[in-house]
Amino acid sequence: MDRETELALVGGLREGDTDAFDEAYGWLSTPVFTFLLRLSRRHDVAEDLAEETWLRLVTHAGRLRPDTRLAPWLYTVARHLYLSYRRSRFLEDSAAVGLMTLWPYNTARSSPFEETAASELERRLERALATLPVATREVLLLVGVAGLDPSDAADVCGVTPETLRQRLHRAREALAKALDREAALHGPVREGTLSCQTR
Amino acid sequence: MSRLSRLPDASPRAARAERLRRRCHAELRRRAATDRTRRPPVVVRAAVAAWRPAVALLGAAYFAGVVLLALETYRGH
Repeated sequence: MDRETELALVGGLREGDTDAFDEAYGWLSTPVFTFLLRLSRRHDVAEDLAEETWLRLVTHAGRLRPDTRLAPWLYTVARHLYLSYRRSRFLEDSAAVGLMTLWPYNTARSSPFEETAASELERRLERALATLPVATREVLLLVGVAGLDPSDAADVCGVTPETLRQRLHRAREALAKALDREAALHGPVREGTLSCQTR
Repeated sequence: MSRLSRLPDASPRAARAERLRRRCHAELRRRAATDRTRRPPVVVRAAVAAWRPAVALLGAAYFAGVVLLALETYRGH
């Protein structure tokens, strides 16, 4: 979405325009929900937090600055809500790793072979992501998955861009190590070839 | 990192998403109605907008007066 459209959306939200809300919701509901699902690794929790995130947006809509950038704003609220939830529930990071194998996907694949290999890679990537600490995972989710600029991701995380860059560097290394562990456990997966592994 | 960007998206259940959308619409309408009723009259809003420049102007005039008075006193001596 280009900046002018986004500014118009923010203007509409400030005025209480429901069409503007629908457009913003259509644009960002899936990415924000996906972000929360990968952070919390629980569908019900992600739904609750996503709902609270959007309700915060409409509650604060009248007080949004005209130049507000919606995506970073929503990710910031979603992240804070998740951290609050986590603090209140003392959620164990490793408790729900197994749930990620149930991850749904709907990306188009060119052939059954590529689909199988790609989904195997995706499953491994999801599991590797799920084993990372939250502080590491959130950086990868914001920059790698959600596609935020590192400076926007730094705003979302409340750190300087330099700190974010360092975190991102460490997160990439941690993800690579986690993928290596996956490969050691389940054997290598080559893209474009059919994996014979079953689970 | 490119692989991360290609990971699949997930969506909340459709019924829940629709319920949330309706709830947000209701909240937006409620806030818009509240804002309209709570909005102060035009004169009050104009006064609120003008008080800062007015105070700044008065301050500048007072400061200028003090400087002029100081200069006159200095010249008198």
